[in-house]
Amino acid sequence: MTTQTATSKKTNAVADGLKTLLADSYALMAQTHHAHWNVEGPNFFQLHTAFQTQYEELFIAIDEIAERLRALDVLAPGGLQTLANGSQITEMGTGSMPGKDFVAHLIECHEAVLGTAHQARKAAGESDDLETQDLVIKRIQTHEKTLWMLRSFLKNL
Amino acid sequence: MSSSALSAPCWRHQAARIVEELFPATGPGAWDILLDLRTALLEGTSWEGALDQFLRCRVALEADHYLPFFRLRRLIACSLQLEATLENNEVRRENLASLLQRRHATLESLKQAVSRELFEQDLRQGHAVPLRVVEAV
Repeated sequence: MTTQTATSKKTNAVADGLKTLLADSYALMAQTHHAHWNVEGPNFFQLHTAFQTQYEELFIAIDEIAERLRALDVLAPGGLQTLANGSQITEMGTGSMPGKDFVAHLIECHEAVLGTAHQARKAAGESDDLETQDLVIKRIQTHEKTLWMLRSFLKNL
Repeated sequence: MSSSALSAPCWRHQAARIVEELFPATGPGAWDILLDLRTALLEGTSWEGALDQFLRCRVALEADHYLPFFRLRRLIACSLQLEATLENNEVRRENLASLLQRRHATLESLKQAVSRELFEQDLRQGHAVPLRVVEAV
């Protein structure tokens, strides 16, 4: 009985980790889409295209995270309000701002999602759920790579 | 570290940490202004001084360190405001978010610009509307 309860707690932690990762990833996708629409200035074409690549990648990732929840027999959270409530991502301002500010804001968002992904990976590891761990590790790699690209853009060489 | 620094609110500690991370990333030539900014943030006795020091550091270092100054700008914009006392004694608080997007090099220059705008919006205001930096409520 104790073992079953402990296992159940671990499974719940994995599901909770995936739900938060889903909500954060959705919020990040929305922020990246916002940046894609509203970026202006001398780097417009470069950033507009890069942001599109990033939100398209996130759209696919979100589907994979949600479907992993379903594979664990857990309902995936949906709806903008529900996902916003479950996410810790802060929204960028609504006014016009320089392209570098969009990049800096997205860096902070990716850092936040990365923190969530690390927690989800830990929960999956403790639950011996290698499939979830594999999925989350891929997300960590993608966010780290995107962070490298965004940070490189801000460098003044 | 002084006792006031130990009891500084969370945002000031966060801001001071960002400044501390700039030390190894900059040369010794920048350390004096960074130290002054860190002290002003942790002591929290003069928001005028802290904001002025932030603007001066930003002019000198932001080109090479955009992200830390973006983080500092966001923290300061959420935590400090510019308070204007109008001719009719009405007190108006201006959010710093959009003001800090402008590239003013000193607090005096920022205040002059805001004062001029307030005058242009309402010619009954004097040329020099009293302005002071306050902590956001």
